[in-house]
Amino acid sequence: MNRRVTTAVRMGVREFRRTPVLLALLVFLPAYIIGAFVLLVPDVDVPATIDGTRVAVPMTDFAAAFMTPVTVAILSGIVGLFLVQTSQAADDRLRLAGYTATDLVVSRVGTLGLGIVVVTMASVVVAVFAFTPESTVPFVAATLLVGLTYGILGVVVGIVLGRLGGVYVMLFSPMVDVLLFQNPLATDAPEWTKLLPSHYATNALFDAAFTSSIDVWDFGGAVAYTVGLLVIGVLVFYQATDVE
Amino acid sequence: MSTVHRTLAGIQASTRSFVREPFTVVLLVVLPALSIQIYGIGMGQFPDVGVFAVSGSVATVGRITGAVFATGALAGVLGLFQMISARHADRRLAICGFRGVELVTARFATVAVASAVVSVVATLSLIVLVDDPIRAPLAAFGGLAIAGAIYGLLGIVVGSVLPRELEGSLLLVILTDVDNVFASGLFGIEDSITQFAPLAHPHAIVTEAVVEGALATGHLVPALGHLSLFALLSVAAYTYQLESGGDA
Repeated sequence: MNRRVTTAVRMGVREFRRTPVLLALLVFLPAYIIGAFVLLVPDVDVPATIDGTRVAVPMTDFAAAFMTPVTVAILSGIVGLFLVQTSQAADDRLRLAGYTATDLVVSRVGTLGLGIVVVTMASVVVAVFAFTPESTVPFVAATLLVGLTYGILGVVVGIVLGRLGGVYVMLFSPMVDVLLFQNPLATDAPEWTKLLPSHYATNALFDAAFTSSIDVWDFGGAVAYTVGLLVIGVLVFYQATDVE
Repeated sequence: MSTVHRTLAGIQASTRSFVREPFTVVLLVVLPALSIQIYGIGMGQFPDVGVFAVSGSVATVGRITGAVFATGALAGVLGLFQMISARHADRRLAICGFRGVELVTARFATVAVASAVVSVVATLSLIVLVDDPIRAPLAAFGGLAIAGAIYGLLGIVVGSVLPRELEGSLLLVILTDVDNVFASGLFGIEDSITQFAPLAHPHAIVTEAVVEGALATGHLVPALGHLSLFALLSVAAYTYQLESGGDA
């Protein structure tokens, strides 16, 4: 990584640090969402479809595992949205100062990645207080993939739709995709829901949460989806910043 | 300029700045219908396993949840951005002689009008998309209008206390999403807890109107109570940010 990129990432991190309210929110909101559901749901078993099999899982464990990707998707999406919105003016100046297109893209992806890691870690820490995933490392990896997917989506939406429209879309999308259509309680999920952004990552996450097996196909699909979105995001970013 | 003229000028300016963004206007019209339909399909895929504390078919309650969510979320985000974008303008207007009460009235009126528009769109969408005819459409509209007003005011509170787009949006989006899940009956959380969720009573009013064709009088007073509480909070927060220079 060259010096220009590290400088830009460092400045991005410094900007994060200068807004303690943001950092506090990124840590507090996962605790609020996941903690509230774990504490408030009834103490019963629910039938969920995990790895293609209908099994009974405790509602509190289910709530902790399920609200983790929901939380990470919402927070990462909004962070991605505003990261690109707030950095657009700076990017134009950096370009004039000699930054190449690759420098800018790598810098912004790096800063976004750091934000998503913070959100993921905060959410996973809260979740593991409530339940122990069967496979912890794959659980964290799948959560990170959900965050990356929605972080990149937030960037694309931020560039294409602007702030207000972008917030509307990023408010609805994780709820619809993760909460409604990737919900293991469902029995008749339509086929097209497999095309939604979090499908493979949440499948991998629920497998990791409740089984000791790792579904390579789901992880592979999630990684492919994330890489595909990243390519789209980079193209949209190039177009928006008019680099080269 | 009289008080009435100044207030009207404030409302006109706020409305104009909003209408200048045609995509936002389109979203306000399209998202409620989209949300209702998607929630209907989404919740229709859940079996009746005793997890959901809902009355009526799960798909119908899904559509109602989509309507309440869309109305609340749209009004809330609008209130938030209204406050953040108008912060500096309001300070300048205050220096020009506009009184706090006139400015706050203009902001409230704009959010109220937008909430009413979204509520009308959501009610019409419900009438079209719900399988059975809605026997109490006015009560359904009333419930949605209360949901919109509560969240418009909540947006004003968040925008006044946390006048930054990223932080304010994060907070509002999370509050809206969690509140909506509480209100929906998803996860079967006890009523004694969910009754404190701002959307719970408007949700119950709309459900009663759609499923039973009646006005849920038992939920009307708590819903209006929430509305009054958020009105007081928003006036206090707005006055505070105006007097503190908007850097709360």
